[in-house]
Amino acid sequence: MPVTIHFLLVYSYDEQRLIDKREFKDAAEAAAAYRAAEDQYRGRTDEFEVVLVGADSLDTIHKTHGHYFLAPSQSVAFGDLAGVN
Amino acid sequence: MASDPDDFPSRNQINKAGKLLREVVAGRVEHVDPVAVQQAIEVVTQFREAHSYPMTKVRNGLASMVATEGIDAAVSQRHKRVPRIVRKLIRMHGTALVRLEDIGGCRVVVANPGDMDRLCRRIRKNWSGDFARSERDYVEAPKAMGYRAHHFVVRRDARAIEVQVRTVGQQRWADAVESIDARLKLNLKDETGPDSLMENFKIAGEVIFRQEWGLEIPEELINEIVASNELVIREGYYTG
Repeated sequence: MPVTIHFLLVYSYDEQRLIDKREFKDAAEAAAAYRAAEDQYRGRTDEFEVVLVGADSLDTIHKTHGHYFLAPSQSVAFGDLAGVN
Repeated sequence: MASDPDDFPSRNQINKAGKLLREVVAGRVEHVDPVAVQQAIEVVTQFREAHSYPMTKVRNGLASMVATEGIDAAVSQRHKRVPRIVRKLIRMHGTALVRLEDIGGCRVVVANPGDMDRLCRRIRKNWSGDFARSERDYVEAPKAMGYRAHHFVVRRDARAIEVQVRTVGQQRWADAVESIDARLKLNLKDETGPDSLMENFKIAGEVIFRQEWGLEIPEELINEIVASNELVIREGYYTG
C-alpha cells in the first residue's frame, strides 16, 4: 500500500506565497488540523486559502498543485508561446 | 470525524446544511443564525471527511495503474475546500450537496498525450463498472476558456470521487489560471472574468494542445497569442 502524506497548506493571496505547510502521516490528525485551520481562517477567504492535499511526497504535490509553490510573478503567463513553431 | 455511523448526518441533513450555507453566502438570508451556520459547517465538514478514505483508495488504485503501465506520473488527492463547495452550490443552483461529485478528488499529471491515452484506457478497463457518471473528455471538447483534461467520477464506498487526468502542459495552463486568480482575486477558474484574459487563456490552451499533440501551429494562431499577450499587458493584468 503506498504511503499517504497529508499536507495542510495555507496560502496568502496578499503575500502570494504559502504561509504554513504542515505534514501528517495520520489521516485523522490531518483532518483535525484541517478543521482547526479552516476555523481559524473562516470568513477570510478573500485573503487566505486553506487546503488539505495528499500524495506520496511533497514533490508530487509540486507537480499536481504547482500554483501554491510558484514564485510571485507578474510576467505574462504565456510569453514563451509567442515564439513556438 | 464521526466514528459512530449513527452520528453521521443523514442525506437530508447534509442537503439542508448545503442549502443553508448556499443561501447565506449568496446573501439571500435576511436574519442569519450564527449557531445554525456553525452547525451547517460541521455537517458539511463531516460529509467531506467521509470522502477521505474512499479518496485514498482511488489514489492508491491510480498509483497502481500508473505503475502497471510504466508511466511516469504524479498522483495526488485533495479535499474540496468548504468555500469552494458553497460556491459550487451557488453556481449549480438547486443541486443538492450529496450530488456533488468532486468533494473528494484525485489528480494525475502525465508527461505526454500517449501516457494520457494509456492511463485513461486502463481506468476505463478497470473501473468502468464503478463510474458514477460518464467520462468527460475535455481534450476532445475543451471548456469555453480552454480547460483540457479527462475527468472520471468513480464510486468507492458509496462516495463519488472525481479523477482528473492532465498532461504537464494542461497542468501548466491550470496553474496559470490559479496563479492569476490568486494574484488579482479573480475567479477565472469558474470562467468568469475580463474578456481579454479569458481569450488569452483560450488561445494559450490551443497552442499548448497543438504543441503537446504534435500538431501544426498555424501562423495565425501565433499572431493571436502575440496580440493577446500584448493586450493583457496593456490592460494591466501583467507587467510584461
